[in-house]
Amino acid sequence: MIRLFMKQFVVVFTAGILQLQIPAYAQGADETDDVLDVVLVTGGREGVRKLAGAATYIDEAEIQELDDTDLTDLLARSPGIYIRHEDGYGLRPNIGIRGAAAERSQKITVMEDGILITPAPYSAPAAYYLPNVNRMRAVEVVKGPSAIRFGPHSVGGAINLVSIPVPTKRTGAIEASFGTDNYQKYRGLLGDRIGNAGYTIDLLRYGADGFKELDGGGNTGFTRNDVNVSLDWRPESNWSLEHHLQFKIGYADEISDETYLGLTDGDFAITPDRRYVSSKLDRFASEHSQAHLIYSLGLPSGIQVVTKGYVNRFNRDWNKFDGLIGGPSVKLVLARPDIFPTEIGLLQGEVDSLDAGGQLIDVTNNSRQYGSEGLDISAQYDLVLGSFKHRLNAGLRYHHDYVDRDHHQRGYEMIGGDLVFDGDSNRQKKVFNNASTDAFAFFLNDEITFERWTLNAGVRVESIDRKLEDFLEDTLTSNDETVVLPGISAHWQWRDKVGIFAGIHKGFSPAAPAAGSVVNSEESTNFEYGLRYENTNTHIELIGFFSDYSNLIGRCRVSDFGCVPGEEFSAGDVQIAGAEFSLNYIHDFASGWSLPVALVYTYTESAFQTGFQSGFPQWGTVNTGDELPYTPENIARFQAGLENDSFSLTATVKFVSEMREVAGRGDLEVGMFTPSYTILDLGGKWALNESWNLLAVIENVGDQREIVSRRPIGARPTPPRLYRVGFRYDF
Amino acid sequence: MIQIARHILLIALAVFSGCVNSDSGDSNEVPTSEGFDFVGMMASYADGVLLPSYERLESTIEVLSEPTGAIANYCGSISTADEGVMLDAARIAWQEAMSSWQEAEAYLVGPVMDNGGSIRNSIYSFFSGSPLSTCAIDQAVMLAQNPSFDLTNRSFNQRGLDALEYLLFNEDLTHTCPAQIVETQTWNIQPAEQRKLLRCEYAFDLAEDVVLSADGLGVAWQSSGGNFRTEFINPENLADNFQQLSDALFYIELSTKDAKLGVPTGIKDGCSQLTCPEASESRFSDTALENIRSNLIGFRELLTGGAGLGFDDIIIAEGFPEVNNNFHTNIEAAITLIDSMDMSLLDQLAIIEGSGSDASCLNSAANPETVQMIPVCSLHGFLKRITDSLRTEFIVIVNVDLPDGAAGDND
Repeated sequence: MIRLFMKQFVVVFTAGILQLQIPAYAQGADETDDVLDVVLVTGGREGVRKLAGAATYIDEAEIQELDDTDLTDLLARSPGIYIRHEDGYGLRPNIGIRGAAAERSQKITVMEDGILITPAPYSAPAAYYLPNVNRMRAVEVVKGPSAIRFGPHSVGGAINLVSIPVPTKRTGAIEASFGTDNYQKYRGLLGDRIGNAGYTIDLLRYGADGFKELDGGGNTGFTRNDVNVSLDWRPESNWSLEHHLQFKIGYADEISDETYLGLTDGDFAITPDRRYVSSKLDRFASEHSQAHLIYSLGLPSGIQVVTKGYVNRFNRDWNKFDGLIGGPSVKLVLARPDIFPTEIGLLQGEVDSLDAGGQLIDVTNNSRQYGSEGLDISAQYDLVLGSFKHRLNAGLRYHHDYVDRDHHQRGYEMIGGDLVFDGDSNRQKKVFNNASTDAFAFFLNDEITFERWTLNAGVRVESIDRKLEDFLEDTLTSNDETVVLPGISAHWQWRDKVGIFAGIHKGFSPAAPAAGSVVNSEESTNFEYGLRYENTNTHIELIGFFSDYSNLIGRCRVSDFGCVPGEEFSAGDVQIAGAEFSLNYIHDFASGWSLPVALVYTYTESAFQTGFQSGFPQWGTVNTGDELPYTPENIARFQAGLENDSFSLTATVKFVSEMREVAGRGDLEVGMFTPSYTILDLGGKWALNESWNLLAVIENVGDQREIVSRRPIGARPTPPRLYRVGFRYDF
Repeated sequence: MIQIARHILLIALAVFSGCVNSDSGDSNEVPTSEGFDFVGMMASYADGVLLPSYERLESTIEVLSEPTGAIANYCGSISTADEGVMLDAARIAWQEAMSSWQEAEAYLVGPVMDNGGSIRNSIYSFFSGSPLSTCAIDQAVMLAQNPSFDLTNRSFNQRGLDALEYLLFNEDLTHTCPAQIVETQTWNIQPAEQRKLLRCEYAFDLAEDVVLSADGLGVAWQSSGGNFRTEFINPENLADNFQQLSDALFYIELSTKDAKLGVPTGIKDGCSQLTCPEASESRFSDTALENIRSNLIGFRELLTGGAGLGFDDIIIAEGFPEVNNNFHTNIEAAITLIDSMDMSLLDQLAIIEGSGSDASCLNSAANPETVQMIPVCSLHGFLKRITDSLRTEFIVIVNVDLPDGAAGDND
């Protein structure tokens, strides 16, 4: 019934818009606002400050402050974000929000310009592609009830990456950076406006040789290319309609010699940057292409209609070490090398493979092709009824995505410290399937303002059809589900500088098609409450949150041994709670210098509410009260700077407390947790004139080498001390 | 100032922070040995119990099979003054090899049980289902003189340690075959020294054959061979291998208590007479009790994991140390009782037969500490206490199933 209603809504709504004559008239867009409101989900920095909920807006200045290419470095500026580091460059980040699992960012909604951008957010939510943050104008993080507008994953929140808009006049920039391990980054940016039309060309290439040292020599680095072209058309305003059309196409590729294989704790202690020779053939190769069309229509009645059409394609081949064929879990081998001397010797190339069971190195090419496309129509209307101001928002999205998986295994013998193909090209495929999803999403939101109160009430409906065709098993399974996700929040401007807010919403993260015919989506009830203080130089936010999961899902990935990739596990009731604190303060000196200070802190606690035995390796044996894995109790980031019009010096200290690697409580067991660590980064910028800017960055000044994770397989380090210098020329 | 700000921040965070219900409660505790190092336990069994046991077996059998070993020396001494001494030395070496095997046979897991237990049966065929064929051995002794004779083609019931026992301990040089058997028709007319020599030479061949089987067992576990060690430790196979280990403990019930003691003493169904000495093990050497002693030592190793982690550690982790104590008390009592016996099993069976009644035996079995009129029956009583604990407390605490064939115990 709901699906039928939605289909009718789309037909009527689209037809209505198409019947409108598009006149060569517009009221005249605000040309100073070069970031389109329609691609922002928070309303920008000002919008964040008035939201009846938690959100963070990271602007271009912050992105360029240390010339970040790693999204996770930037997201540390937002409280409530949990990062599990993996390759040291943030190529495939693991981002969680408010306890939602960080695994390949699969429990959060990620968008570019408000458009779903991960390869297949419904069918295969693991985000093997995220846009390069270095080419972005802003990063927005939305949590709490505000997140229900941005499904499908709303248990934690949403992240929106805002790309460089078309400028109002001819501008351009050239950037280059060079650093440790042959780090190189080049960027070219050119944009112009010609009459009513404009364009932006954004070129980015960066890469490094990598800081890992492969046994016997070999590549461990990466290269990324990213080309984006935006076209913009804003016709003259002669009619009572306001049009704005933006079309963007993009292509990005990556070649990285990345692996899932880490080290034993013993080897890590000696040489944290070592890479075993058994991962020598590992290589990730991907291509991403996208076409986004955004059409904004302002009607005389004040109704603003935004239509977004999008097509994304992502192909990847990840040829990588995947264990020992018929052998024990390599995770276990790395954890217990004393028990598995032959197997660890094989990984290290110190033992030759013999014609015995479990001595062939498994190198599997995980080949996947993803696609997503959809049409998203939303409308906004401001209405005044007496003393109540209503801002009504409604939206409907049709989305289709799919993933074709073809995981082909090859066996290699370890002979004399090198990998030798065993000649068998016809091994049984590990995974060979197609998963697809058709989803309609509808949301309705009313923001009611009355005196010092703002009330936000909304509802999101997701109607999802999933299908999984397994070509190995010759089976076809499908399921569908419709969920209604309400949310409500309130903001009270208690004093001019102090606001108090609270909200509750139902969170949802859909099950993937691989969940089979029994739908078992993740649902939660999320509460948040907080206060916000704001004056000229100070912004303080203190928020408490509580998420009560009725069905937490763990999703098996290729790196999880003992389960089938895509298989889903239910943990039943889980509670996650905590507090988020953020402070931004700027002290201005009379001399023209200023001292900006920023502190972000997140406290988190979690507890499984039932005991069970799980086949999901991260959970294992769970008892009531056990804490979630990879959810640190304390995360903090402190930044202080000294700057004037020409110079800026920035020091950033990041702290992450111990993280459990499997569910548990009480004392942490050796080898079953990552230690706490503190990293200091320093950055300096010098503006020679209006055009030339120089940059120098030292990451991990103290060269702290700690284990950040033992996933996917084995201990992985914090990156070593890294230097970067670069320039930017604006014209 | 900083202190004040810090305290304000902490108080504010405490006020604002949500909190979860982390009460562990009781009802939802997972009833497993949480945190128990099962992988370490399996590795401990492999490296500390099973592989050393197989190495001992191999080395003790090699003493028999080497060109200058006990059997070769005996063969060389036949018709000399040293013949008796060398025969005794060969018998002692056999006994040591047999003890190694009896201990190893308590660990019936992995390759030793593959292919219907072919490796096991080629080393020792007592439980193969096919009784030792002395006639077939007598025939093989004759056939072995032909260079084309292939020992490996012979059935299990004419190979292994039990065949060796027959050749080394049987004083009767007369063959045991019916008259129509062609191969042995000329045997009895050969000189005694010649018959001893032929039997000894065939015993040497048998010992080499057993060494090959014991070798094969070790190789099957090694990474350079079948690599079963890894398969055994691999947690993906934990459920199966853990159950196999647990099943192996029941050797002490099904094989030791029932087959080796229960049937010969008439306590167990399967003996239709007062006693059944013909069902006893190692009748030619009359060393059945030594075998049982080795079985008990093997059982203890299997229960404890030797010096490493074992079932007993799970039992302790689950909070039942007294169950371990009971096991150890009864194992020690059984071994001490065996050590104190001055009569063999066959001798004691003769006493039961002589009494014409099973009353003394049953009384001894029912009250093993206080009544030891027939010590082997008391020994059965101690073994029953062990196996009763196995099939009740052990399987519940360790959370395993009874093995096939142990579903009932009608003692």
